[in-house]
Order: sequence, then C-alpha cells, then structure tokens
Amino acid sequence: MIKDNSKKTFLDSLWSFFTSIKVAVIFILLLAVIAILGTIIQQQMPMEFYQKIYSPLMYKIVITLGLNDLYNSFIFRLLLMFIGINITVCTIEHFNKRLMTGNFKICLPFDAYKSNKYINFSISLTFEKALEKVINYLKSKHFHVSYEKENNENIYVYGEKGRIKGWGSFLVHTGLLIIFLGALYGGLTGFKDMAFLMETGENKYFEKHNNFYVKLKEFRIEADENRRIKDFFSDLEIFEDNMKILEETIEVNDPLQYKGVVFYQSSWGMAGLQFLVTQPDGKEEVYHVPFDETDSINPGQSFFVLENRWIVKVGDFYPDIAFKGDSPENLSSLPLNPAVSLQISTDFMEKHMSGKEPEWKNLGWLYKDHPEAEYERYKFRFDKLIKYSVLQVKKDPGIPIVYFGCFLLVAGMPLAFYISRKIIRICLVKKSDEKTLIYMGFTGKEEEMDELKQMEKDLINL
Amino acid sequence: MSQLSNMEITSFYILRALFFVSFFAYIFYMVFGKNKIVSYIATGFLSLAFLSLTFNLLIRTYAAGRAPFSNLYESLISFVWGFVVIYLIIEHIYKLNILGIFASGLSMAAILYASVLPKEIEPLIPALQSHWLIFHVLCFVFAYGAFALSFGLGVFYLFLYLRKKNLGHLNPVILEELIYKIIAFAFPWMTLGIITGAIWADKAWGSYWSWDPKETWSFITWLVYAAFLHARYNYKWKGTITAILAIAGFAVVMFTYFGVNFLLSGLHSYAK
Repeated sequence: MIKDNSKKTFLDSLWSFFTSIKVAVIFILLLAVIAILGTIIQQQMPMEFYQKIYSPLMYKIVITLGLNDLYNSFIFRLLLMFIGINITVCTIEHFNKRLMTGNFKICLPFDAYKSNKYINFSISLTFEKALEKVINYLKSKHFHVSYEKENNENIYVYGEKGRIKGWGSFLVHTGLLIIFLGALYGGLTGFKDMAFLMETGENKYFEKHNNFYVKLKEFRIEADENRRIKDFFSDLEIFEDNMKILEETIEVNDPLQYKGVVFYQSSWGMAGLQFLVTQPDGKEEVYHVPFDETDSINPGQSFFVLENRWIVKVGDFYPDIAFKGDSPENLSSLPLNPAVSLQISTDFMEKHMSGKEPEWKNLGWLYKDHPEAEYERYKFRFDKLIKYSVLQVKKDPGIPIVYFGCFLLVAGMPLAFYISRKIIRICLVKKSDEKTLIYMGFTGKEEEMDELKQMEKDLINL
Repeated sequence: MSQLSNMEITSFYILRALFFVSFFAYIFYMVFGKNKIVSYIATGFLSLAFLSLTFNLLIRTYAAGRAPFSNLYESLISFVWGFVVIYLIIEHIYKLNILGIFASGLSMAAILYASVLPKEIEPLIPALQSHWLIFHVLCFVFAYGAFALSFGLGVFYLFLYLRKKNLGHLNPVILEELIYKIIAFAFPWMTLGIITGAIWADKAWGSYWSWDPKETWSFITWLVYAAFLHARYNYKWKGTITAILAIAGFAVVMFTYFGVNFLLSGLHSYAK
C-alpha cells in the first residue's frame, strides 16, 4: 500500500477507516455496551413510568436519546448502520484481496526463504528426483501443489490446503448483512398486533390489510393429572365477506397462517360468568357478571340485577371445585371445573335505603354436575365461564430473507473455524549432481516449527 | 410432582463425591510436584465423575421422558457435563493437567450449587414443549462449556504473562493459540444456538427476535466473542487484550445464565 497521505482523498480515508480491524472491534464492543442499556432501562413503558422512577435530568436524557425504546432508537439504528457499512466494506476488501488475488504467488524473492520461519537442509538426490519427491510428499499430505522453475538452479514449490476457509468468513459476513436487510425489509413491510378474542364470539379481529376477520369459537385448556396446565387451544374461524372460509385450532407452538398473516396462541384469561335465568312464564334471559382487569372476581361485590328488583350476587367463585364430603375446596387456579355460589336478596333496595343489612338467601353452589338452582319459581342456571384468548398477530415478509442469512451464517462458520488453511513454500537449490538444498517454511505461525522438522525428517529418511 | 427415584438420588451423591475427590487429587498434583501417577489418578476420578454424571442425566431423561433442560437444576448439571467433556478432551490432547484444578473446582462448585436447588421433575410448560428445545440447549451446552474453559485459560495466560514465565511445555504463545482454538470451536455452536432459538421463538411466540433480556444478553455475549475473534488480527492486541476479552466473555456468559434470571424478567423467566 502506498503510504502517501497527501494523495489520499477523503473517500480513501473513509474507506480505510471502515476496513480497520480496530474500528470493527470498537464498533462491536460499543454495540454490546449500548445493548446492555436496553436491559437495564425498562423498555416501552408509558411516559409516566419514567417520570416516576427517574430524576428530572435522567428522565430528560432517557427520553431525548430514546433509551425508553432503545432498539428502535436513532442511536441504535445509526450504530447498526455503521456496522453494516463496516461489514460491507470489509467483505468487499476481503473478497478482492484474499479470494481473487494474493497468496497465489508461487515464488517469493529468494531472500524471503532465508527468514527464521524457514528451515533448510540438504538431501542426497538429484535436482529432478528431489523435486519429484517433494511434490509427491506434499500431495500425500493433501496439499495442492504448483511449482515454477526460475532457472536451472532454482525451483519454487507452492503447496496449499484449506483454501475454502477464506470463503467461510465471506459467507458469515454476507449472511450477517442479509439478516440485517431481511430485518429491515420485514420492519418496513410487516406489522405486529395483538388480538383479544372473547369466547362469546361477540368481538372479532379485523385484518385491515387483507380484509378478513377472525372469531374465537372456543378456548380450551388441557391439564395434566396434577391439574397443572399442559397446553391450551383456540378454535378459530376466519371469515371473508361474512363467509366462513376456514376453521382451525391453534395451540402454543402451532400457529395458524392465512394470507401471510400468522396467529399465535399467546395467552388467555377469564372474562366473566354467564347465567341463564328462566322466569316463571318460561321466558329465558341471559345475564353476565364480568371479571375485573386482574381476571378475578370480587366475591360479594359482583352481581346482576334481576327485573330491576332482585339482586343476585356472587358469593364465591372457585375455578376448579371438588367436594370433600359436603365442604367444597378449590383444587387449582385453572378453570377445569368452575363453580359459583349465588346469593339472592329480594329486599335489597328498601333495606339499603333505611341503612339496614339486607337479607341474603343462599342458592348454593352451581357447577357442571349441578348447574341449576330454583328460587320462587325462577330457575338460575350457571351457563358457562367465558374465557378469552390472546393471540399474537404478525406479518413479516422479511423472514425468508433472515432465514437465508442465517443459513449462510451456519454454512460459513464451520468453514471459517473448523478448517485450517496452510500454505507451504519450498525452494530447491541445485548444489551438485547428487545434492539438493531445500528451504521450507509455512506462511503464518511460528509454532508450526515442529511440523516443519517432522517434514524434514520424512523427506530425508523416506 | 413426581418423587426422585432412589437411584437418581444415590447417583447424585456419588457423582458429587467423585467431583470432590478429583478436585483434591488435582490440588495434590499441583502442590506436591507434578507426579505422573497422581495426574492419572486425578484425571481418572474426574472421568469417573463425568461417567456418573452422564448416568445421572440418562436416568433423569428416562424418568422425565424428555431431555433434562427444563429448570435451573437440570440445565446446570447439563452445562457441567458439557464443560467436563470438553475439558477432558483438551486435557488429553494438550496435556493440560495443570488446569484440572480449575476444571474440577468449577464443576464441583456448580454441582454443590445444584445440590441445593429444587430437583423435582416438573412437567414442561406449554411454550417449552418443542423439539427445538433439545437443539437450542445442546448448542449452548457445548458453547458455554468451551467458553468456561477458555476463561480458565485466559486467567492462566495472564498469570504466566505477568510473571513472565513458562509452566512446563506451556508458554503464553501456545496458550493464546489454545484460547483461540477453543473459542473458535464454541462460537459456531453459540451462533447455532441463537439461530435455533430464534426459529423456535418465531414458531412459538410469533417473533424471531424480541429483545427480551435473555436474548439481548446472549447477543451481547456473542458480540464480546466476536470482538475477541477480530481483535486477534491486531498483533498489538493479540495476547493480553484477547485474554481479557476471553475472561470478560465468560463473565458475560455467567450473567446471561444466572444474572438475567434473577435480576431481569422476561420471556425466559421459567428458567428460574
């Protein structure tokens, strides 16, 4: 390389800045340090959260630099862009220097063979015989051999193995760039959303981009013999123009894909209790008691009003009831056998107005095997526990690109790390008719001297 | 919750005792002159400890009906297994008995810690019931095992470098090369571990990368080792700086493995 700074243009120095290994190492470590920040500072919380936990100055720093959403922030993207440029420039440079040219020179200036990386010894063979022996020996050691005669006194031999190693690093870095591009493309053209679907089927998830909607038919839980959750399922229906197109069950680790949009089973919860009340004249009416935001029901405080006069309240709720003799117990927090005990008051209003305790009558526990209770010719039926299913909705057209990048990365790494590249250079010098002097050395590491000595022994003795 | 079989409990006691004995044998080897017979005994005990650990993992796999990777106890003893198998191979090739004190000591400490952790065989939570679990964890077992060894070698390198001396056939140049070889072995495994994790996360959670603390810290670990691999190309950094990076790399591994579970919450929180 020409070391004349005056002739360097700005572009040249920028190029050499990005090819510097020091710069690459500093970028990599800087990315690591910044990535740590995102695990210390809670991400994507509401602004009030940061106001509460940080001092005004810290709050300002966090918000201005975008540390509250670090991985989408300008700083982080800028750094990723720099690393992208770094990798691109180095890959081009590497491709030019290592793979296309260089290292193919068969002979070096004669003095190079006298450096301390080389050993020399002589064998009692004619010039031609010695050359034949050296070539056969290198071939038996799996080297690719080529040679060049300078004159009748000197022959230069070049042996190489593991040239494919150079492609390893090329594949790895290209793979990383492709992953970058795939993530960028996916981020620009895809979307991510959540769907909360009730078992009542009342609410739908509308997919605006492709004009279809999704409904939840049923949500199911599978438990093991110890009443712990094993798996959960959502029976989904897809509609297009109010026509049912598809019916499919999804579970954890097994999503549904429709028109490039993927629906993942993410989470679930309990939304409310549904009661069916049959009036004395046979008329049926549906009543709901909703759960609160924490998916629980507040016994004594949750109720529905019957015909504007009676109050029916939830005395207690057990998601998984069993009876030990007459006393009920709750076996787990999963809604495997939900039960509700109801209490009814017919004089709530009057008593409440006059400040007296209203009278409550117990209707007992209602559950699957005993769903109904009767009070003054009104039938109360615990119809069902309404659950909701949370789905992760996603469209990411960048995924095939990212996976292709990953494939290159995985293919390149063994080449780069598990193959060793070796270059051996030998110079044969004709001493006399029966004697040839051999200079021999590896390009690279000093600790290969032992191997060279072994090769010398082999060549002399074989 | 199923009870542990008597066989598993007994085999755990035996393997713990064997790690203890091998640790003291390596200390003996270190303190009372480097006797060849003592070194064979130490290696022998460590190999026995390794075999009983293998047996322990096999009966647990059989009892649970799945790979033993689901909670901290299971993953910890799996990681010890990976570490010891890599150490024993390297010891055999490079005659590194001097590092046995570190290898058996670290394994013993991990086994002691594992012995106070809850050991019941728990059923897998839905998100973990996938074949990807095996590939994903196995990759990290090999990667982290090798990183632990490169950490020991890094400390050893700095020790030799600062005292400017050689120990037997080991000099800083050979050690540096060995640290590189071990990290170069581990790095592709770690990359594959992250990629299998990403594919699995895409299938299970709907996103191949969500910057969850465990993911982020594994990425940070990956970056530190990437920095190590590049720093070697600078002759001024090759040696001391790279040894420090190898040590820092393992510190980050430890944080990714333990620290994230205890200090930061996220999608991997079941590994507590």
